[in-house]
Amino acid sequence: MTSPAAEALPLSEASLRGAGHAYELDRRHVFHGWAAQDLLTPMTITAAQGSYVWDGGGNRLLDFSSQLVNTNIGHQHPHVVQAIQDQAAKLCTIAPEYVNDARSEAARLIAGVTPGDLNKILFTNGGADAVEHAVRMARLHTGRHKILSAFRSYHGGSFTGRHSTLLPRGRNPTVRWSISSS
Amino acid sequence: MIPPPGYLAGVRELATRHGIVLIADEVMSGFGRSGKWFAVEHSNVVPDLLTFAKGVNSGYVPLGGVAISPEISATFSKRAYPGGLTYSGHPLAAAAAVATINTMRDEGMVENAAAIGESVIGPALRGFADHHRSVGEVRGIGVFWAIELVKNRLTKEPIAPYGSSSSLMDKLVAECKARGLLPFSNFNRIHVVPPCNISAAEAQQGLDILDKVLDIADGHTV
Repeated sequence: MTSPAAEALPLSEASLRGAGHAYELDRRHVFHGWAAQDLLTPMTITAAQGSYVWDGGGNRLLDFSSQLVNTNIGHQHPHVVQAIQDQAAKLCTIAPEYVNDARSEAARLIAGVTPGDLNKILFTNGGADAVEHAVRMARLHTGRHKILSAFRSYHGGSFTGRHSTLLPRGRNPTVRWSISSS
Repeated sequence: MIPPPGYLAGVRELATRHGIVLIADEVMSGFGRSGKWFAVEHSNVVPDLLTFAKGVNSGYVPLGGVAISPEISATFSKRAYPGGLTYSGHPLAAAAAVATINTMRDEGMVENAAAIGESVIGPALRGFADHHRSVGEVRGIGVFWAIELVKNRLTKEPIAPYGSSSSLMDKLVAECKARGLLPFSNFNRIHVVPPCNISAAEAQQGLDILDKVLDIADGHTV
């Protein structure tokens, strides 16, 4: 497999100037998570393709991070970009109570790749709220409330996720499990 | 951490025996990252609930979710489930997921992730552990790897304490970027987590950069 060539992305003077402007606005108005605001010098990314990203200075970098370990299919895969464009032209949004063909098909495909008989899908906005709902569902199903999670695991940045996570707060390092009943 | 052989099967058995719901959090490990669609497949374990996000549509539009067993779904067959989200199953995110899953399957990306881990990243990282004294441990599978950096090979004291970074870690990350590599780092670890469809040549190029940057770390390890 190959990633699209670097030459496919010309970086004009205008795009370099645009990157500088974006950086200034970011530092003035964007509040970054997991960070002390004044100690940040975030990298500007102006473009991405396949396994590569381009920074504000026009330098190409090989993306060994997949961002936050999420771009499994690489950047700007043309099939996915096209699907989003087509869906945007057709129907951008509709409430979850209504049947929608894209949602139905996504649920069918996900049920198809997940193991065993996991056949129904509750969709969320991201991983942290998926964990929230999984825990809520488990508690309602069993009528029990305790959660066991592994030492130094991470299950998201929201309330339940954080409580199922042994975050570095100087807790006893000999604790092998994090037990939460909140 | 990769669970030792038999571990997850044992957890599954205990959970079943005591009526405990087993939730597999596959938010980061799912959708090809481990060289299988889901990491639990390496242990032949089926959880009761499985959480996912990230790789489901590579985050082109935010999406996550919970895959639910028939038993748990049945709990809510005549009783309403108390929860939901305005954007649950958002059409743009769902359309991106459909295209992502179909494309990953058509282009053999899960198999590619497994092969890259086995033939390129794994051997390179085991080599780093042998010839870089700053490397305390390497572990991983597929395109999901970690390099633990230490100050001392015997005590394995990390080069940054748990929960924070250090000036040396910051320097190593900066050196990677200066050489054209965007790494993922956390505390004392550098992760090798490229896309599932990275080519062997691209992966090798990134590993060669890491190899040189680890020379710098070696100078700080006894």
